Amino acid sequence: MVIEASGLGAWVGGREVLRGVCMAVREGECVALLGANGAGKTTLLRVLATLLRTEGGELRLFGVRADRAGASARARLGLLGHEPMLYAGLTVRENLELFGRLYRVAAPARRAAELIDMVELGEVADTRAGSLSRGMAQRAAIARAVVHEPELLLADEPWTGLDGAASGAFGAVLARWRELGRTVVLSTHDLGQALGLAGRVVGLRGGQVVLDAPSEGLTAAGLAAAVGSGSGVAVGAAG
Amino acid sequence: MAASGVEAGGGTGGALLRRWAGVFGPVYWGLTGLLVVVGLVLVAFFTPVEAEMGAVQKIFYFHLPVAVAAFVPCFVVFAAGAVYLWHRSAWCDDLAHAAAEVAVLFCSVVLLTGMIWAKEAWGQWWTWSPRLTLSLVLWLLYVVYVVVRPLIGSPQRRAVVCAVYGVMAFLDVPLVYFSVRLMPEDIHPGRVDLAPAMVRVLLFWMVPVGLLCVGFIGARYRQLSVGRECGESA
Amino acid sequence: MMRAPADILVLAWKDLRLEGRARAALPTMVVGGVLFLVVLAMGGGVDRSGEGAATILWGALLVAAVLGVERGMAIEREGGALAGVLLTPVDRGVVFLAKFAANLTLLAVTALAVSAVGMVLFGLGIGGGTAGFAGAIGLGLVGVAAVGTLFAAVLGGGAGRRGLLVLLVLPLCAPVVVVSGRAAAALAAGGGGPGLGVLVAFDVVYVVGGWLAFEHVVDL
Repeated sequence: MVIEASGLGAWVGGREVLRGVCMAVREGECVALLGANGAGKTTLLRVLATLLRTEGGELRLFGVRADRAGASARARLGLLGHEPMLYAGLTVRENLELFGRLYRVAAPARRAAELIDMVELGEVADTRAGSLSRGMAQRAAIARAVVHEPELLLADEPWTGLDGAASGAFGAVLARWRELGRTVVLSTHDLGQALGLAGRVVGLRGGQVVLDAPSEGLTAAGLAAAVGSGSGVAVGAAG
Repeated sequence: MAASGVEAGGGTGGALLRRWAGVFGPVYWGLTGLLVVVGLVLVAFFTPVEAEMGAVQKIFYFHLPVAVAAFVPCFVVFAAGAVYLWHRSAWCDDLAHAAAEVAVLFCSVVLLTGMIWAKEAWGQWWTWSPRLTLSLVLWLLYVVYVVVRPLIGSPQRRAVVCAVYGVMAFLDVPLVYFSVRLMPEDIHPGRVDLAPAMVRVLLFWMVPVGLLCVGFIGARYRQLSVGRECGESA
Repeated sequence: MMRAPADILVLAWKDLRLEGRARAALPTMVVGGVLFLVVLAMGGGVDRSGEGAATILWGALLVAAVLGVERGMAIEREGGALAGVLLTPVDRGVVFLAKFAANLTLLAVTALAVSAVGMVLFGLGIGGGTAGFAGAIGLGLVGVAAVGTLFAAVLGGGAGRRGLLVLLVLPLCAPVVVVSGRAAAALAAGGGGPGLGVLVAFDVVYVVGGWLAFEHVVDL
């Protein structure tokens, strides 16, 4: 198992955003997290990436408890978030070289050049990341997330705000990850897209898992009813 | 039922502590009050009047026990902060909060009685000797704790900031202690030779002062923890 | 942990390179420190003895330190860069140590600049024991940089939290400043350095404390 979560809870800014989340992801699976805004998708991905501590419950990454695995688990996972997670004052190339070093990539400079080709940012490779357009920054962020060829790729609404080129870049990464049998967990609120890409969907509502099923045989309309997409379920209202 | 988990005042530790805080009822305060009265009588009629300073010297019977007892709330802020960082239970934050307020109170009393003493003994209210400077720093440390707390909106961030701060602040206590030995020019006595009668009264005063200290922390903790529950169920 | 020194170098070098390029922190720090000196001088009574010099310098350095650590953490939070670093297998305590090293370097440069200005403008004399004076101030800066770095990380960049950094850092730095200032003055006058041991102990506690606590308390 790549991810085994049981009873995960998480608090953000004094609100209980996740409660009792249980999910398991096998190697090579592609899982889509669904839910309305505020359902806890971003928080869950941040918990899985060990950026946010859990309150209660247990999380195992690659078979080891996340709080003990630490660096070794982080070396095997990558996160693509809403923010690019790049230093605004460094150029795209410098950023990728820096992260390559931190991820202990063998030849950071060569790897950075490779990635810049992959996401087609050659023209702006020596421009500061802070002055890139949203779409370009997101392409740079894709490159950063996969610097170390992670076995587990976590992506938070990867298509939001992407231009055509960035969309294509992420599509290519996704295709390659599935081809190589690597694991992908991504969140989206586009139900049709989720059904098309993922082998399994996990629906979140009010911080709890309300659906966990293979995508085969599911319809977008059925999903919408299950996860209450678009209804903007308020989290923590029960307290 | 209020939200379960860390944010609730509960958890076994919190529940246990709250039950224990029930000790601070009329009996406790009655006993403490009685001991204070006995202590005052002892100081007034059963201690010698010091030759040089006269009656003002008697403030020493409050100054020293309160200074020693001030260590307790400081330590509670430290310990509760450390436990909070480990377990993230809300009751630790409440306990640290309560103790910090008592620390401010006790440090204030230490400084004020010390100043009255200094005026009589050395002719000035304040000197910038290391010991006094660092006692003032200690007082400021906990004043800042109490002042900053309400300014941080998110309950979790507030608890984390205060826990780290409380742990760090406590590290200043040994510095206060060692500074008096390291800096020989200090006006503040490191040790005092006292008549046996003085020592006995001094030791007696440790009891009511200690009870006041623990009682204040417990009472304030109970208040805060009840407040948190009301806030949650509201 | 074998990789720690290399990681610290990579991360701290990144900070210094960003500073060299954007000059976001150092000018603010130096100007803040010098402003402090000038305001004091305009107020008259600048005590030019060794102890006076140490005290004035410390006042200026505290102003600079708070400005510097705040700026340093703002760079990390912009665009979520710090989250990106925390995602890497680099030991998270090492991330703190790197930030601390970068902040300390900038503070040391500021200290040199502010002292130079102080000497030229006000003729602040520190007597013969320049090395001892600098050493005592330097030991104090280690503690101040560690506390500042930790609380800039803990406090978070949220609205309304900015002013709080000063409140939290000043009292925690006060004992370090008191001991360092006295030791510096004594050393400058050619005497022994009382309290240097306490100063070192505090540096160790603050740096180790920050190193251990950072991962659990940092606000992204």
